[in-house]
Amino acid sequence: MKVSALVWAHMSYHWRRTWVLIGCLLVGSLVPLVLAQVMPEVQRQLQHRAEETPLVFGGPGSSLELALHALYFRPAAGEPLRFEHWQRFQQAGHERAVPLHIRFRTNDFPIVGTHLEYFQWRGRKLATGEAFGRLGDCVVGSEVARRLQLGVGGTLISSPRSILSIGADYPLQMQIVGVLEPSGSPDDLAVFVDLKTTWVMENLGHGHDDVSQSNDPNLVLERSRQGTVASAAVLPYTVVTEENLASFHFHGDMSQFPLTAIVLLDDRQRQQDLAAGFAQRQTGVQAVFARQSIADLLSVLFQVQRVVLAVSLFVGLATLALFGLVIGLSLQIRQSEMETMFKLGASSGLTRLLLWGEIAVIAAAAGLLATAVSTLVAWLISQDVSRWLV
Amino acid sequence: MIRVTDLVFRYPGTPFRLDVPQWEVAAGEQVAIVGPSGSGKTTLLHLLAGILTPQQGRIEMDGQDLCPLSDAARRNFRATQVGLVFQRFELIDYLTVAGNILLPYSINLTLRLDATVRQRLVTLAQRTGIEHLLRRPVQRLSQGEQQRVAICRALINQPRWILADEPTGNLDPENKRTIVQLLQQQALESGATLIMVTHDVSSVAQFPRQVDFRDWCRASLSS
Repeated sequence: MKVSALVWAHMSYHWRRTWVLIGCLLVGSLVPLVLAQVMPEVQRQLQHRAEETPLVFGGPGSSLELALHALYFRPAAGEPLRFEHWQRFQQAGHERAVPLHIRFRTNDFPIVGTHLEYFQWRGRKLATGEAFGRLGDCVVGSEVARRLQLGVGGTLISSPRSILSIGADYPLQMQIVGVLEPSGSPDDLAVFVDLKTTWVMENLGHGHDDVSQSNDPNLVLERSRQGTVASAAVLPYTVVTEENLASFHFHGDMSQFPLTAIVLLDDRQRQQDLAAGFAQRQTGVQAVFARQSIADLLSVLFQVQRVVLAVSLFVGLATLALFGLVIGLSLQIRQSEMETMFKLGASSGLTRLLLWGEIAVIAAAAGLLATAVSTLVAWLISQDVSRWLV
Repeated sequence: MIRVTDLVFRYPGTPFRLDVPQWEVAAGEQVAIVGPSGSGKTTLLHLLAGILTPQQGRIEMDGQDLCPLSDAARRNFRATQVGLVFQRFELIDYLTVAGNILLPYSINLTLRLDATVRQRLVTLAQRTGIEHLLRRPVQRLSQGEQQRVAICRALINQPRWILADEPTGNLDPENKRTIVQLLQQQALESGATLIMVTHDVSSVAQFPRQVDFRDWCRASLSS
């Protein structure tokens, strides 16, 4: 048995104290280490998504919330746009402007109402199945399919926005017709449907039994030359099938139907400038350069990081002071042990080695654990920053 | 043999003074030194072991004067040629019985732990009746067992001098007799010189030579 074995024997015998000390150092160093590993990855992923979606349009409101809504499908906070706004972009030649309507969720994943061009301009490919072609069809992101264990042929039901609005929004069963390839983006965590499907969820359109020929007074409130007024007893279909597809219709002027955002998926700077200029001339439309919004967000995040690091520094110093105190007390307790060893022929250097060896082993164990845990945490977080934002 | 000549030792800053004009112990002799607590018996043992160095005089162990030796040389002398037994056993609580007995081999590089030493450990443990306790933590032992471990530790390096400092101080009368007999027997078998200091007159009856500390050395308050 040599010095290392003596160090080990002491640490094993006082294993509670050893683990408390390792734990103290671990906790003190974990936060800065995690931040140091996570922040660059967060920055990279946020900037990448912003570069993929250079320009975002929405109604008046917070530009950051609009950017996060359009990039990460977070709930919209600003005023909605109307479908006619997108039509005007098309008429002005901005064919890479894609409408978004994101108000509903299913199994906690956002339902994104859009056009098929969204996949084309984003470069998304289908792993299986086909794109949505009919009302009620949906294409799910790879993570949605994995987590819900669903594939082509499966179904999803939209959740009403609120249990209090159950009369206004009613659940719609969607048929999964395709699954996207993994892209490492928020699209992996979304369910895509045609814009009109979300309007059906919004109760702007519906399908129901034909009551024009019905004589049931419970179903028909009024019959006139203009048409038939159905009663509330006529329930809308909650699933779109080949048989009832023809009965689905929309009420009102579709150009006034809501959009929550429009994204310009065009990396040409000139097109972006033109689109931004065009948006400025539109009433009730704001244009947001996603890169700028994300840069603002990152600047806030970095400020928070600096505060957390400053706090961690104080916590670390307090931990080190506590560590020193425990080692100092331990030294006092071990004084007689050291004297015995000296009497038996140990040098004072060896007794110092015993103490420093123990400190070194504890510090190394804490360092290794902190590195392992922080790497694991950082890996889990940076696997997909989208998961924390969608 | 041990020869002490004109020894003077003082603890700096205290009035304590140990004064030994002349003292000799023959090789293989067994000597009990009796004196009251605080008279300087432990200090004398520490001087003989090279733990302390005197301000004046000579301490010759088999003709070698310890006083001019360096700290490292005295440390090696202590580790290789002296076996120390303490009153409070001074065992290391986080080591097993075997770990404690082999401790000198863990803390001094001049001692080499090999199969011979391990065999000696077993033999000593058998002789002292603790062979079944070798893997047990020392804190689980009785006081008598702990002192046996301390004696084994003092003997493991086959010392030429066994210096026992009140080895029976914390033991009951039955254990006192047993431990003294054990020390004497082990010293006899290994041919070592045994010097035991104690304030307890009853525990020295078995020693062929008994010295009253006050007869031949003077530990006094110089003031």
